[in-house]
Amino acid sequence: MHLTLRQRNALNGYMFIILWLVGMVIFFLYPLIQNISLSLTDASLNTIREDTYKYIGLGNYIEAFTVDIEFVPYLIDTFTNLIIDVPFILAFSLAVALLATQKLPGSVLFRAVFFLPVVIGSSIVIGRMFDQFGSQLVLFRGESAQEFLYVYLGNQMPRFLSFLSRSVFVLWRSGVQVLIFLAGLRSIDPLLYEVAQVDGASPWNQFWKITLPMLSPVILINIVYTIIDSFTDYFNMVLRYIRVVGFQSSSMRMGYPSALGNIYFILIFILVIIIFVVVSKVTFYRGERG
Amino acid sequence: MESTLETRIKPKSAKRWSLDLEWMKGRRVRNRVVRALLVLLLADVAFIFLLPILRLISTSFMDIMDLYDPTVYWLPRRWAWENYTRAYQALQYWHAFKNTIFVAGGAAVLQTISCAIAGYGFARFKFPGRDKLFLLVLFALIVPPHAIIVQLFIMVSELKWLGTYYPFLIPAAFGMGLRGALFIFIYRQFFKGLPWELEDAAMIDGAGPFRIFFEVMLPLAQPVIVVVFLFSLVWNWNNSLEPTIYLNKPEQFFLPQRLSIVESALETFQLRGMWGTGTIMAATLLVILPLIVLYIFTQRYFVTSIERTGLID
Repeated sequence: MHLTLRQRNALNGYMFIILWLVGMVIFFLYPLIQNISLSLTDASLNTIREDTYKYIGLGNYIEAFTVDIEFVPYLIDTFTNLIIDVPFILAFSLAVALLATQKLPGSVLFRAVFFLPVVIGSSIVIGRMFDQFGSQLVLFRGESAQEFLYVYLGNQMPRFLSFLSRSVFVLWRSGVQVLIFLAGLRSIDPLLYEVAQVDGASPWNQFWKITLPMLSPVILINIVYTIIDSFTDYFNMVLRYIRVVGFQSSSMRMGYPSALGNIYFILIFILVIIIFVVVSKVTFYRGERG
Repeated sequence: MESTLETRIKPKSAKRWSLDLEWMKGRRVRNRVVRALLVLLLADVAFIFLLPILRLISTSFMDIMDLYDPTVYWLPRRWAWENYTRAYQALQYWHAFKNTIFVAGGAAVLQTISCAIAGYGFARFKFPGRDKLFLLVLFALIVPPHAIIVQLFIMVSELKWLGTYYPFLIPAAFGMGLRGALFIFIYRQFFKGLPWELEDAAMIDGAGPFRIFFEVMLPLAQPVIVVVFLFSLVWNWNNSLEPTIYLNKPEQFFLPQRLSIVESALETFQLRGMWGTGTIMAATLLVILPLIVLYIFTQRYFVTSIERTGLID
């Protein structure tokens, strides 16, 4: 058999990815497709064993939005938390990254600390930790501070307070984002700042006119990362609910949690695509990327 | 950034600056104050980061008297070491530790190798459908494992893999597993950045593609390998979803899962509610202790990881 160089190259390429491709089909695509068909049935663990489950169309999906009183509130909660958390995490991690690039004593130590939550975070362990003394972490405990805040926040007060008590927890989820920003800051050409300095631009202007535009692709990466991270987080109420419905309830339903999982992941998918399209419009790429 | 600026500007401007000593002094003092404030700010944020862990350590040494004593905040009056011996027994620590290290370590080794192979294939070969398949990698990154966990559970139970460690190791061998897509992405970015001359030279010397990969490219990827291995180990260690679903016998559980049955185990010691708090905190600390030790020794790899992997170019 005689192959051209290009054919041989292609063949070698397939050799390298064939293992992954097989795994992908078995452990991802096949379950994904099965999942969609299962979500259209009333299957439970028992009916699957006896092979007596039947097709009910979009019944599970309709149930999720009309009958189930828990799912939609969890869904709304997840999205509102996200809207509050993402700007907060981004602003915080950018500020920390900017501080850490200043040549300050101990900046290596600070980076190590900021990254620590990534190593031990996102697990049952941290859940225990925050469950146990979450109340002690509330930043404002004094009554006067609460009254003062109430004047300004009114009905939003409980939400704000719950955000504060979660804030340490939110900070704990920004380790990777800090590092991505650090890498992004390092990739900006120092010549740009030099030129700006010669032209007399203040540090404030340099930040808005150089740092931020040059960081915009990194900001996009960070937004998407934060969204995916918080949507697949152990503490996510929707996921916890899916787990309870699927594996801890007495009925052992299979079709319904599949439908819930599908709704959830389709919503994430739509959100990520919207953000990609919107943010890409204001993202600035250097010439060679385009 | 700053160092290049200084070396470029200094020779010319040094003379001018020396004439303006007073101005320079004021600037230097102000600079020092600003820097001190920044360090203070960073230290403050770092403290908030460490606060939960510090509280965890402090509470784990407290017995019931200290917990209810309002004058005790950080340091207990009596160091309750028995919390640790109790937690150690309730966790069945050594046994659970061996389970965890076997599965998390095994999955990490398998993922490190299999994802490197796939990542190299995507980075260095041109074949029909490559870009579409790579989109599939990115797609797998977005789909949460929970969306397909019911199906995977059915598949695993049909394969008679329930109650074994196969569901953790086999997908890892195929480059899937926990966040396998991310690792493939990282490897691809890295291999894409290497010069083509490496492969050209090896090819002229008569090496086949697999020999080139294992003998030339993989040794070069050593920093990325360390990063992927560490992340995979940590994420598998902390994995909370699959173990609770695939494993049913407590003696097979990993450390984080053992933690959730410590509470019920504590009842045999007649310790409920606040009585058990110190012990649960000690158990929590014991579960993350190996990760903290690992982090102390490999901290520089984690911290420089994203810069090394070329995720951002």
